[in-house]
Amino acid sequence: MLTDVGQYAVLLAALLLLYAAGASVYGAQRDDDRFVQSGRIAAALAFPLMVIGMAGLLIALINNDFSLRYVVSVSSLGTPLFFRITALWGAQAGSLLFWCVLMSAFVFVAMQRRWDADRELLPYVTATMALTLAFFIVLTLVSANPFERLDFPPSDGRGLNPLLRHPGMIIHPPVLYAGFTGFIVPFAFCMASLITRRKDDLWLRASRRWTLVGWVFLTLGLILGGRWAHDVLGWGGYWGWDPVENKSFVPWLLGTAFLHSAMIQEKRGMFKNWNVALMMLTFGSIVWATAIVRSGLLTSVHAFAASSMGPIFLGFLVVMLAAMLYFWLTRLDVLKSENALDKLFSREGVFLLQNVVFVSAAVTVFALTSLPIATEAISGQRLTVGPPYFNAVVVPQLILLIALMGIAPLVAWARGNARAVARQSAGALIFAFAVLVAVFIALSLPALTPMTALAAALAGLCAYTAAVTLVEYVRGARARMQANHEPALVALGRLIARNQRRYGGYLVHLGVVVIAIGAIGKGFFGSDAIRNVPLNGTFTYGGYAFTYRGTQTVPCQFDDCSTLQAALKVTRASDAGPFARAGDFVGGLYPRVDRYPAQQFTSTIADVTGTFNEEVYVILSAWEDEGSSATFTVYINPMINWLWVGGVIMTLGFIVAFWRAEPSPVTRAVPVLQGAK
Amino acid sequence: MKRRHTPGRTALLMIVALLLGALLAPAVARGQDGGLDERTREVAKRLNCPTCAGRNLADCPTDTCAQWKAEITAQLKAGKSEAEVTDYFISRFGAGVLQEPPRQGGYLLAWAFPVILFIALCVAAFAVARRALRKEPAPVVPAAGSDPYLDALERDVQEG
Repeated sequence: MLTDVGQYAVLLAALLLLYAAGASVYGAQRDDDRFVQSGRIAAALAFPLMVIGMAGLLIALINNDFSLRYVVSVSSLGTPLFFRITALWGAQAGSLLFWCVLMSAFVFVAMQRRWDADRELLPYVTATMALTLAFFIVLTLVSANPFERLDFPPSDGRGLNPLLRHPGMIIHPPVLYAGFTGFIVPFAFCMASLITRRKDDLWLRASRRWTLVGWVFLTLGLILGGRWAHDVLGWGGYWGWDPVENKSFVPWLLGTAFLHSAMIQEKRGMFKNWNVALMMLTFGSIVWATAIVRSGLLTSVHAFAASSMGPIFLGFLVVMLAAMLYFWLTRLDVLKSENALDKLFSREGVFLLQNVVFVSAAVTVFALTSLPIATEAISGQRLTVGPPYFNAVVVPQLILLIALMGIAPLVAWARGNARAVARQSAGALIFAFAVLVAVFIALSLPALTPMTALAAALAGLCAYTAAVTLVEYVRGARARMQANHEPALVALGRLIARNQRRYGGYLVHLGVVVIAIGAIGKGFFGSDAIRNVPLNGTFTYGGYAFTYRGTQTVPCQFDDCSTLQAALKVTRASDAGPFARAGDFVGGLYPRVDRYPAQQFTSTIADVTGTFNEEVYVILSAWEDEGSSATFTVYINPMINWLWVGGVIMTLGFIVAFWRAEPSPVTRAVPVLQGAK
Repeated sequence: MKRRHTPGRTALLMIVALLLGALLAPAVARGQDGGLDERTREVAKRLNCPTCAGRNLADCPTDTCAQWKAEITAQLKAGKSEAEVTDYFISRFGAGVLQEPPRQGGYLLAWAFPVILFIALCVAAFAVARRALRKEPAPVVPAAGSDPYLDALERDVQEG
């Protein structure tokens, strides 16, 4: 009953949104504010209605109402309450509904803005948001309706996909979806600005903080996804360049490029048409990402054609791209630069190059992720490229970005001065060189190869960029200390408070460098091996000795699986290097294998030990005769934990940039506040 | 801003760097031979797994992949070389089975594409930037605190 109410609420939300789009545009054309306001209210109302819809599905999940096809596919009598709730996004139909709920939340909050200075944009912001959201809701109802009933309800469901029964997977999808859907706000402002032919950067200023919100959720979504993959997939890695990861990475690359190039427009009134194009590309890539994941296109072109979702998505993408292209091309005259470029070697120039690299990386990932789809459609055979290809082709571009991150803060706006840059980065260069030499010395003990030399060079690059970034804080704080006679910490705090965007941004840069260091450690020095060992036998690998203590069946976390667990004792081996003593206890490891007979699924869950700086990650690959011998795959993951720390630093940087950031243009329109000081 | 790098400061930087280097330096003593399992793994690392998108065969724990790995082990046991086993999989499933596309034929396009794209974007951006460059020299903005009399004179001269 409540479930049916939910379904109708969702349908009503879609209808209201269509009305909102129509009324807003009509009101704007007729200059009748009553219609614009009714459109605004209608668009905002979609959110409570979507929440009712979501509640309807949640109640069905909690009560295990197996008359719903969706509930059968993600829940079972044995599924604990917590996972019955998270099953909301445990499969296609529910996650699409959840996606719509999140997007409607962003629409709702945007509709609550004060809309004073930017009132002119309101009707078209409403219309853009309402049409986009309405599309996704209709798509949900038509092709993946989570409320669909079964004629003959089974007595039990299939249960949640075992891979999704992990904290990382519970938080990762909502965060990632929030990142995707959050971009609807800047996108709508961008379209509204185009439609109303505005010359200024009002849309950028009005939507800046929203862009940051979308961006940070996207960032966190990617990192949490990596963490989940690391913990659950039993492969020791964190990023595999698989299509689902790639399609989230493309909007991140484009959105990050946009965050930077928007600064050029705000400061210098330049690159207006480029910013508009970049925002449209970002949102377009988000729709594309959702389309290929949700429509089955990734598995096969035929799955795409078979579901009704594929053609609907394709139609929407075409219409959206056509609309974007039309408005962009017909408004190129109002998007002229207000300023000329003074010098190629300037902050603007460096940002331009940085944009080139971001877009190039994004297009590469996009194209090669779509390659199997394209080749299958043309020739019937799927051509795919794997991680080594992406590592060879995309990673160099990311390295270039780290280098640019170390140069850009030193290059002045308008007129950069190469000599000044060289002078200011001298300390950082010395430091980077020292790090390089130090890594060389540390490495030369066991082996020096071209690859490790490259790793040392990259470590030096990271050190350089980190040093330049840190010096930005130190220089600013020291200037304040001298000018205002403030203590160091006060000076630093006030420095950051005075320009939160700048120093928050630099903190994000530091987070990126920390992640890069983790990636270098894991990528260049990570290693793995597979070993068979008899009961109570020992094998050594990577400076560790592993003693196998047997296997046993233990109670499984869930009642639809059985678990076999192995026990290993890890100690330092005699070749552990100068900092460890042979025989030192490192930890106990209990890698396990969970078997889910009903789902015909086996999941190998690794166990980890080691230090912060070096993770020892072991999975149980096989065993013979009730555990008289067993085969283990060991991954030594140096510095992988830096990745997660880097993610935390990036989030902190976002908070600094976002928290009480400078007043939005709406409040700035009140001149009294400005004159007060 | 003037900052001199005194020997003391440089030495401090070196020490910090050395400490960081020690932190950065991971254990690299690896590589004992694990026998047949290890050779299987080396071959499997170069192949895609049909049931794990993105991950290589060696890292994929599914049952289908276990069969593939068993096939590799069997062929290696029968005396085939690693390259021969890889070729067997290519002949059976096509070049798409490889993690890294071969650097020949149509796949060269996949390798060339990012390079061409990057160069094209750089050229385009450079052209745009060149066109956006100021044609006439930038107006001279008097530095703050310069003589008001001279400023007024300058204005007069320019208007005159």
